[in-house]
Amino acid sequence: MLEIKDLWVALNGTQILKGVSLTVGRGEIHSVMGPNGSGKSTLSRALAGHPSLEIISGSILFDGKNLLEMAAEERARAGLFLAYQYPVEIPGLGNSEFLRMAYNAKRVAEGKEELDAMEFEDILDEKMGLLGMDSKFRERGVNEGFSGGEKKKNEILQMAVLDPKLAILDEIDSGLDIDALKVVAEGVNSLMTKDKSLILITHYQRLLDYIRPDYVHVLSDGRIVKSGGPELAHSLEAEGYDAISAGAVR
Amino acid sequence: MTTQTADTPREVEIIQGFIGSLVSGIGKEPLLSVKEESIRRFGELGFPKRKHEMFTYADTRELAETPFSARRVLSAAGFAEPLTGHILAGCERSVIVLVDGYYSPTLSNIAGVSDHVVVTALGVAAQNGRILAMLEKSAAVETDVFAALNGAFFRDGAMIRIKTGAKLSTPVQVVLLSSGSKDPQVVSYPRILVDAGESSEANVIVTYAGFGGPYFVNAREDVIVGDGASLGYCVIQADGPESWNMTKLAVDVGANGRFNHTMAFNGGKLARRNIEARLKGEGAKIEISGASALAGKEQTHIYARVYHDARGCESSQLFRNVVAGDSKASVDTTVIVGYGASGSVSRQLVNALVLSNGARADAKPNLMIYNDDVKCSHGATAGGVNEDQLFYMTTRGVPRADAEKALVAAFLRSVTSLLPTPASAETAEELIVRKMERLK
Ligand SMILES: Nc1ncnc2c1ncn2[C@@H]1O[C@H](COP(=O)(O)OP(=O)(O)OP(=O)(O)O)[C@@H](O)[C@H]1O
Ligand SMILES: [Mg+2]
Repeated sequence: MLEIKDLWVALNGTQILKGVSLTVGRGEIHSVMGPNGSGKSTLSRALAGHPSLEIISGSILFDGKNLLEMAAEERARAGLFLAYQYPVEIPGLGNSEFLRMAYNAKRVAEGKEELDAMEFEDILDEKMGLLGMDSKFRERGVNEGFSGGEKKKNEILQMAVLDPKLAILDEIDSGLDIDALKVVAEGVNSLMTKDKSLILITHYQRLLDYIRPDYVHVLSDGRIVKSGGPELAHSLEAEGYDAISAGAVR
Repeated sequence: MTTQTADTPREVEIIQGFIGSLVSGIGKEPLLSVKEESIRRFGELGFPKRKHEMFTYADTRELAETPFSARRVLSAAGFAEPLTGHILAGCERSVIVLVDGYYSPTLSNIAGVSDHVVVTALGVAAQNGRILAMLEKSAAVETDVFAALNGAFFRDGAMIRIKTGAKLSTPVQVVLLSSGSKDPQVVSYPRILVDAGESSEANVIVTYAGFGGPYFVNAREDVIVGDGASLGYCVIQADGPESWNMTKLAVDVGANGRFNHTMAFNGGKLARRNIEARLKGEGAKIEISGASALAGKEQTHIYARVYHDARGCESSQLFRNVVAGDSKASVDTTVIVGYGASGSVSRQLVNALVLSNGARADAKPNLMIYNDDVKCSHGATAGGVNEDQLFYMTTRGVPRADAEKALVAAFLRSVTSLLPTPASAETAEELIVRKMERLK
């Protein structure tokens, strides 16, 4: 599904990713953990195609295609989705209007007819129900004045509407209350069929209790310094990241 | 202020034309005193030469030099068809139409609001001493040369009286329709007076539109908001890109009156609106918001002066302009808080979205305060489309060009969403959407 090889990425002349390699197979769930500032969000933005990142070297294959040659919108239409750590507010653009634009862009790419507002409302109803979202979030501006947790739910709503092949969830758990975390995690789980893949960026074990990863990776100073199974997350929670460099975490 | 005398050949020609028009229409000139006062002011003011405080951003030289001939259409017949597209849904029985400045009772239909609204030809309305005195007074102190020209050359107009205490659930639309012509170049001088009686509540939507080629519409709008009245007053400027649109709005707001003025501009060769607003009674409140979406060489310029003349008045202004191509938009607005206007609150905000290197957006929000007890804020921003928003949208698969259009519409929506009826908001959005095809 996704194959990142020796990826070096700089931002404004500063090297941030220093040779990341990561392979995510179809149906797999990977968790990426690591200290603040280690480059997790940068990796997710590089995958999404942020124009200000400079790809120094390396390759990314997504579903057999060269991701680095694709514009952000093409990556999205090819089935890649990023739930942002800090979702952007777009005042004045109605949330459901935005969702419909995104949904129709995908339909057009698949050679299907666009849906009109009425037809789309049904789809949106169902997805919002899945996440227990109040219908007032349809007409409000995209993330406009949403609370931290509401923004995160809205990211997952977008994921639910677009039904991507690979979703990268960047700290989807931050800002969510205990109940909301459960609802969101259940929502994500319900979208995960056996051919879908997931990358979960998180700092906490709690999310991984709900969405069980197959693999856990530790990103530190722009490199993956350790990979393992779900138990790695547990030992990190117990020992902290410093212990990795000291060799205490296995 | 600079006082000039008519000294260019064109100015002299205009004054001679005025005298000629009096001779030809002798004995039946309505509002003669207003016209004489106005041509006198025109002679004193003259067209702006070089730098002029009122025309810092709007270049009117071409306009001043073009010998326009006045439209004298007296039959409504040819206008019925071009009018149809401009009547808003819900206003079919509350629409007042002026064609080339002439009030057309035939094309108008106010059956739906006839209990609350009275429409009279301006000449007839001015037989009322109060109205005539008001028109004469404003003509004598006019500071805008184009408004003075309207005062001298208007032939007709409509007074729209909203009765005391009337609460209108249906908006009243005023369509100012212009017929264009390339040769000769034509001008019309529509004039309306909206008199919102005490404690009345109404929405008035003024649509500027035209057909058949370029034209110059030089209009004057007088508005009186009575004590305790609440008037929504929306202007949709839907003239074509070849047209000139110069308008002057003079509004007086009485005690505890509310005037909510929204504007959507399509632009044109030059669209300039001069707003002179006076908060005359205690607790009067005014909101002004304007949006324009401009492409090509289109221009819109706002020149606004808002006077706080009484205690406890509030004014709030929001302008949002989008400029692409080689277009230009400006907002030059000053709030003047008088000595007696304690407890004033005022806000001015001008935001511009600049989509190309050739486009220009100027903003000059200003305050003149002669009282200590005030709360005033003002600000201006200009920039391109927000890259973070654009990236966010593209990562959802939305094509970049579509995302840009949606962001432009979203930017303007903080103004267009204030338009009084769904139909007027839709019309404004349509103007913008159509314009979007030409942006960049
Ligand atoms: N716009 C920017 N300008 C300069 N430096 C930046 C910018 N964006 C990110 N960085 C730097 O890049 C590094 C990696 O940031 P990134 O956001 O990828 O970290 P992260 O692993 O996601 O951290 P966190 O766990 O706090 O979210 C940090 O040192 C950060 O300061
Ligand atoms: Mg991060």
